[in-house]
Formats: sequence, structure tokens, C-alpha cells
Amino acid sequence: MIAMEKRTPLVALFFAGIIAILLVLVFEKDERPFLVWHGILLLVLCYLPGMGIALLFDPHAKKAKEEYLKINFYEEKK
Amino acid sequence: MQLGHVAVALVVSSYAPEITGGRIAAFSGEAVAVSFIAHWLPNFDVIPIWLGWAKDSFHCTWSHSFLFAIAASVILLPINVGWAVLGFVSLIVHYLADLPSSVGLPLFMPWKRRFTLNLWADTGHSGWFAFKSTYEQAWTWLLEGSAFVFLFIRAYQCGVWPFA
Repeated sequence: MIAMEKRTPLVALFFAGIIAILLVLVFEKDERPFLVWHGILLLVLCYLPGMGIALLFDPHAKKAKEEYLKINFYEEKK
Repeated sequence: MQLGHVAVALVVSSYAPEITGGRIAAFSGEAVAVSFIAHWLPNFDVIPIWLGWAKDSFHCTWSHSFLFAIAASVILLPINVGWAVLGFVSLIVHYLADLPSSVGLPLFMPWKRRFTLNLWADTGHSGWFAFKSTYEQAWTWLLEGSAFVFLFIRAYQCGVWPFA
């Protein structure tokens, strides 16, 4: 499991909803409306960048990046 | 970028007609095969590392340079012009997708200066740790997730599954 704040998955869902609504408004054509399961699939996919946005405000993600930046994973093994 | 490469390669294949001047159809088997193989080709540099023929530091060097993209395309050119063009674009898009990683890409090899947007920390070339630790960071979710959303929209625009 990824370490994160308790609120982060909910924040991600919020952003996923916003992204999905915006995409439907911008890209959906009247003659080819999305089916319900298309909408659900879109929401699931939008959860991924939504999680990214939510993690931008999560101190665990920031700390992870800082920690990994200290390590050289390509250093010669002795 | 890790899983996001799958979506990015498929997105490139969706633009095959525009990229190849109509030689290859969008999302066709040919487009998907060429863009997938070309897009993943740079990451095959882990094979000599796994076999013990190269050091870990070999990852993201020659295979992630313009010289490699040009060489691969020149080899494909006499076989099929469409493959060469689509392959070249797939390779360049791979470099763009990897540019946010802190490891940086030596795009102008043999000049060794590395370029990076430094949005996420690189955590190694392969293995479970590299995979897991990549997704502990925000920008990997944001960019790779966006690639899958982009793919969804392209599938809708092109009328392929799940919209066929």
C-alpha cells in the first residue's frame, strides 16, 4: 500500500469527478453520447490523474520523492 | 514512466494516419505493433543489464538518445516508410514520456549532458521496488493517468473499442 493521508483518496475522487465532467462537456458529441458504463469507465480512469493531483497536496508523496532523490539507483554494486 | 508507456504507445498508434501520411490506419494491428515495439525499444536496454553484460548505469543512455531514434528509423526506412516514420515518432514520444524522471536523458549522446524535468525521482530500471516507489509519487499518477484518459478520448474519437 502507498502511504498517504486519509483524505487523499477522497480528494482524488473529487478531482476525478471534475476531470470526467469537463471531458464529457468538451468531447462528447450529441450524435454519439457516452453510455452509462462509458461514464463509469471514464470516472475510473480519471481517478488516476485525480490521485496525482491529490498526491501533490500529500506530504507522504513529497517526502517519498525527496528520499528517493537522495539515492543513486545506478551506482556500481561492490 | 512505467505503465503509462502502454497508453502512450496506443495513443501514438491512434495518430498513425496523420503521422504516416495515410500509409497506416489508426489503431490498426500494424499501427499498434509498430508503435508498441518502437515505443518500448529504448527500455530493452535492461536486457543486457539483466544478462550481466552491462552495468545498471547503461539504462537510459544510448537507447534514450536522438542518435538511437534516427538509427532505428534509418534501418526501417528501406523496409517500410510508414514504419520508419511511425517508429521515429514513437521513440521521440518515449523520450518525452521519460523526460520528467530525475534520472535525465542524454538526448544528444555521445554528448553526455542529461535533460530532465525532475517531476519524479527515478528509482531504478526494473523490479518491484522500482515499480512501487515510482507510484508513491504524485506526478507519475498525474501524467501516466492522464495518458490513459487521453487514450479513452482517442478511442471515442476514432470509434474503436469500447465505442465500436
